[in-house]
Amino acid sequence: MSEAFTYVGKSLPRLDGREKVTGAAHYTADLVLPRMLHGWLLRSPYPHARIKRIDSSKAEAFPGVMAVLHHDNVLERVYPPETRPAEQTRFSFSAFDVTNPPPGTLGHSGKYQAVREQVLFPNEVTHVGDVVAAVAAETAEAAEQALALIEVEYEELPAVFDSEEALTDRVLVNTWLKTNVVRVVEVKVGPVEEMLSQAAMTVSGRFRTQKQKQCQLERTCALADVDTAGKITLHAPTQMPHAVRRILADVFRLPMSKVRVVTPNIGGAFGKNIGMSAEPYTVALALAARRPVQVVYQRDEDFIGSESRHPVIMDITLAFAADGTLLCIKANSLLDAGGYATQSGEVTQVHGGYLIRLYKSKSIHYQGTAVLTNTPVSGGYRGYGAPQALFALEQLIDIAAAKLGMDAMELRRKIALKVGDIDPPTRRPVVCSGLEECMDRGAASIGWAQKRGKGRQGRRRRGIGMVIEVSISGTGGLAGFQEKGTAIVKLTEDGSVNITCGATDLGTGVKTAIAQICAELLQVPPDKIDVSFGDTDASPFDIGSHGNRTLFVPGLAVREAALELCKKLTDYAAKMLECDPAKVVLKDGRLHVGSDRSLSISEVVNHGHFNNLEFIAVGVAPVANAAGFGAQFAEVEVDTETGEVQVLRVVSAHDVGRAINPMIVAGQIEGGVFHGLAQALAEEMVVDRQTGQPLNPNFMDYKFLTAADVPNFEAILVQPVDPNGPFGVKGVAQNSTSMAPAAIANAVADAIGAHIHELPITPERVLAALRAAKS
Amino acid sequence: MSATTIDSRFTYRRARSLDEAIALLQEHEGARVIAGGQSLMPMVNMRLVTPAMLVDIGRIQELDYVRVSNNALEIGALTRHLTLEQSPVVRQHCPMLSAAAGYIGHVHIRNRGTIGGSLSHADPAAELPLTALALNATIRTRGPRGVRDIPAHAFFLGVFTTALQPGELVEQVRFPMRTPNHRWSFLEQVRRHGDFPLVAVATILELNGAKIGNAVIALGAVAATPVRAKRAEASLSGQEPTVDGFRSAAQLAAGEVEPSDIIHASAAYRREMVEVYTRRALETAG
Amino acid sequence: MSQRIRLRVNGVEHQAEVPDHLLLVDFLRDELGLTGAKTGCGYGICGSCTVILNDQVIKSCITLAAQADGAEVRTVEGIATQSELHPVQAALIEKGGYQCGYCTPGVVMTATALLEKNPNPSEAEIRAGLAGNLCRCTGYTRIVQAVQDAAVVMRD
Repeated sequence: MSEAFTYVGKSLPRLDGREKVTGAAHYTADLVLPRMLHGWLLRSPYPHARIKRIDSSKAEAFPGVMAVLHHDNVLERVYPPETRPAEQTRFSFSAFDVTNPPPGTLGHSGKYQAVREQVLFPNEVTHVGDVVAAVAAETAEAAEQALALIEVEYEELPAVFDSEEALTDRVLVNTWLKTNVVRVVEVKVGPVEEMLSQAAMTVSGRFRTQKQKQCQLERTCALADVDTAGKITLHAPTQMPHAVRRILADVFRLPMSKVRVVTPNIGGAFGKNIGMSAEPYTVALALAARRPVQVVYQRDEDFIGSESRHPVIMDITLAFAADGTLLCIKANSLLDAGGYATQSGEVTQVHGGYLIRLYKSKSIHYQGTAVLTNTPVSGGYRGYGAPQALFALEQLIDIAAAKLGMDAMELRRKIALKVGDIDPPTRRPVVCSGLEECMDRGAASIGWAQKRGKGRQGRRRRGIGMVIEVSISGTGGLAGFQEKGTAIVKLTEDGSVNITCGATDLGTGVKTAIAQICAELLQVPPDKIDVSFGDTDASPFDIGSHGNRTLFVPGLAVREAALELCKKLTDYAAKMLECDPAKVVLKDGRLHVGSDRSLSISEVVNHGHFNNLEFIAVGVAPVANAAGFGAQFAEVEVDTETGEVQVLRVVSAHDVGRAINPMIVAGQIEGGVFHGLAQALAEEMVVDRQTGQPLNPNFMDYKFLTAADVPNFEAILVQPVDPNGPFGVKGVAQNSTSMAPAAIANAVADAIGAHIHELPITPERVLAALRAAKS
Repeated sequence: MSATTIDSRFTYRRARSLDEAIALLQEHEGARVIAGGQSLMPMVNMRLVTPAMLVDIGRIQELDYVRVSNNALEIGALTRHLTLEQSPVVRQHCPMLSAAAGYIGHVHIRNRGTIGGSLSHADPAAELPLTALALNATIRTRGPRGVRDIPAHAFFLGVFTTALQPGELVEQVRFPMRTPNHRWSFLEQVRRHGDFPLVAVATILELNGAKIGNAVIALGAVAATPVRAKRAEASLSGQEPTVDGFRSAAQLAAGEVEPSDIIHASAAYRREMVEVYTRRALETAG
Repeated sequence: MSQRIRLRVNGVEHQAEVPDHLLLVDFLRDELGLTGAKTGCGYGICGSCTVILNDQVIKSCITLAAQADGAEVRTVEGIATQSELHPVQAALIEKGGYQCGYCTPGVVMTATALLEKNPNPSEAEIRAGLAGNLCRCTGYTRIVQAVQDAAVVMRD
């Protein structure tokens, strides 16, 4: 890379540094509005029940209580007569609901209908913790006390907690739906049966993964206000403000222009905030009370009242020719959606994509099914079905390599997606891949050649494992997905810049990287660039932050806008300097003609503003995508007496296209490994199989690991510079999370000589695998 | 969470002495003592307990002491875990106590938590009750009927249950001083740094020349209270310390407890870990 | 049902009448407007509520405001001087030792107290010292590096 950039590629400190390290930054629960009320939610203690009767009269009479809402009264309390529906609007808490993928999506069977079964206050609850009622009061104590005064008579209904049992529909999770199945995705390509019968060697396995919780430190919360004209302002740490705005406008029967969603600083999201959680209740309470209402979940509510990672059962067969050519990927995945469908359909699709995209196969048969159970709702969590998929797929690849007598990396090199191959989700050739370099550098760092297969002796055994992946950069150009990224860039009279975009910064620092992109193009230093994300009043529609998109797509939008502004500046400067626009060069914040004449951006903009010209550009991201590859290597030590696994190193090499800010990207990669390591070894949301009770909705019994439990994580950045992304960027945010469970599982297998098919890899499972391997 | 909440507010009184605290406990139904609050306040915040009053004894400085007296190490009830961990006096005369305290939670907890609080709370998995049992500590209590001394083996009665009568508080804990022929170890298995252990083992081997005189093998987290593995101890008494002897003792120890299934480990696994950790603890001590 | 308390917070004397059951974290946030300390769990595990009380780090979500009577409390808002960030804060920015920033105030307090007591900590000591501060964004790697860097600066 010989380009000399001023700002791109530099590890500049983030622009929000001071406010974050001094505690000045405000998050939603830090905000206080005048006359603000506190909202608390009443939750079902039963996994499945009909509400026969609610009597909230005592709660409503409790001093300080200003609103109580539930199934029987929500329509009168929240809607004025002119907009009041006859029944509660059915909607989905998933923000993706606004995209409602049309036919033609990956594996669409022609019958997909988005499931919109949720209402604000149901009279049939489908999981422990499902919301039954809401209270807004002057103090949190009053709200909490008033909750206990709401009398609810439940009729318990049969419940099902096991996804395979739920698939039979013998017990319905939600009797308003006719089946527990919410989505079936099927992809069949090539002569599957023929390839299976021709195969020289097959490997098969059943794999199971657990329910995992995002555990962002900021507990779920929202703050809603209704102004005197009836306009709602919702402050919430959502990832998808424009989408949420649309759903709320629909539910509350308001014009979208009368609903504003603003995102304060977000205390971590990791996909949880793609789904709505507190938002609709907070708005409902604000409408009923006609005062601002703030809802902050307790930590146990956060566990069970916001979405978590799908448990998945996978049955996979890989069929090979003798030389290692992959003849067939046959995969059947059952995803546990929990009590409501929300975005399970999307996760089922994306999960399947991870199974079938990475390796070239002569035939593919993927069937993915999302099924409801009476457990806390599953939704978006960093990786979005990839960690589960790779946990299974990459272990089978290791097993296949061993059977073929090939090194595990050698097999991957042979069959992985490469430049020139048709990339299934975009149906176009891959144009840029850094996968080889990721593997080379990662393998060298971990000591692949020296250590692989060499540590399998003694009481403490060591092993190394690897995994590779390919992921998307946003959803542009993917068959059937809708991508929408727009940004406004404005120049001001002093030459500083305002950017507004409807995506959100989840805390990743993407706003700084976006500023760097704009800085490079407009030749204005990043600290003169203000980036405003996530205010629906200020920004044009953007689908929001998810799917590795927030630098790639908004970056493209900002690029388009900045390029347009560059042209406006050079054209106008040419007018002012009376020369040919082709002779004007923008450099170092000035517009130069030759070596002797120049104007500052400020002079040009100032002049223009008083001559009827604005320097505002609306940039629309072109439809584009880029395949982001990665290779991750883990080294573990296994205590064969206790089964405990200690992770010694994780090296995660990523083809990031170009690192706009290497420090920010490395931080994303390192932080992503942590989630995957936790999924591999430590974390599980346990739901009692008899009662449906979540048993560990807290940080005591849910093992959120500490700094003393993990090693340093090492990121390697590979930068082949993709032609699609802004300055060559590819999306990366989820990818290190996606790979870590498989990397650790393969490392454990290298250490103990046996693969473990269930997550988390607990000490007991390790001991069981060791004993099975012995006998 | 949700429908079982009642009024979570409580009144607060500060006691300047144990006697004052005892009087307040007697006078007010639903009153509880708070010292460091590191066990109590989480329960209050999670609405697992709803005291009517908290009597704060955390300022009674006279009860925060470590001293050698009457050939014993005397520790005031309000001595913080951090002091136990870092005090040169404790390290010298009762090193197991210092080591055990270092396992408790993390630094924020150790700054505030007290030995009196930990023993009174009697969490079956807690480190200090196990240490008190292993070292044969004496717990001095003060209550409405005066002062009494309770040996550790008679103090811990069940899960979160001690011999403390209503209104009775821990005043001091006395530990025997370590002698040069004592070898000791303290090991615990945790899922995560700072957690309560899944199994904890405290051992003391008293050597008489080449042979073991008395042996103590105390197990924590695997029963309703910390327990001594008496048959395992007896198997070592009078024997030379050998790898085989330790292995047999460990197997015996595992047979002396019946740990239950918990969310993170099955009963069978926990019993197996009793054996593994007992053996490792004995090997460390021996 | 209420207590009169006096305490110094970041060097400023405060007197207040507070409900008996008021938690210190809520006193700091709601009465004094110091919202740096946050409740992330409410039972003393995550460390987002970490403040320094009489030179020791504590979890303010499991401490009563009444228990802080007469105490000297430092919060993240008082760590920087008028003109300069504390070396821990500067190092966190320099090294990228924060992302969403929610755990950061607690990390700043714990790291500051750790380095004040142990100016030359090993990596293991830093990690153990930070075990009461959970972070979900960084994987801890850059937090540890930042503390190591700050230690060097503070020793000079």
